[in-house]
Amino acid sequence: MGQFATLLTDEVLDRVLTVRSAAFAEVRADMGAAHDAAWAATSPRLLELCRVRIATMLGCTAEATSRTPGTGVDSAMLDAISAWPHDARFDDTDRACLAFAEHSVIDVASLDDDTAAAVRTHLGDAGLANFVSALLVVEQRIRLRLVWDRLLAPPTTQGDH
Amino acid sequence: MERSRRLAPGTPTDAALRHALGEIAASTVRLAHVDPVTTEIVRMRCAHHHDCGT
Repeated sequence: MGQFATLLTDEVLDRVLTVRSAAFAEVRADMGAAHDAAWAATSPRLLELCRVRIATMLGCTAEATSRTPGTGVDSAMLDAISAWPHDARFDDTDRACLAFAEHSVIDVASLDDDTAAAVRTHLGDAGLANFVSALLVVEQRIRLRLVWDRLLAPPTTQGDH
Repeated sequence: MERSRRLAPGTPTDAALRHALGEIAASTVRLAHVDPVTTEIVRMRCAHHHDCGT
């Protein structure tokens, strides 16, 4: 892990994109707008649960340990995110959305009707559509961060990977 | 893989989020730092991964 490890994901995006060219800065601005829109379009609680779960699954420590302000989710609950199937702090809506998020990360093309229908039951049609779009934004940021952590950040010490 | 329709036709979606996603796609496509062949290969690989026939 390089020097990006201690930075917030927004700071990593700024370092990689805004310094390269105006065209990259435009992409950065659009990514920021999509991030803001994603959090406004769906339940911050559900998106925070899914963000931390996705980060945990992908091995992104910086995102897994960070907390988005104002979501109303207790940090201890996020620390226990992988226990969502049996932990009583997670309700049926949480579980439906987390199951969807997990399946999406593992193999989005094989996501089955029942998993999608469970989310629709709790969020409605429009809620499902917005939730999926918001998940895309969150997962994209985490995956980009992971790639840039590995490829672009100079190592902190010799031999550090 | 056979699937049923998952959203009702005409389901309204958040306009700001839909617009923002479109803007990312547009500004990314405008980048010219990767050659067109590589770009197309990556695009097709991503479409296959997402089972996207569009």
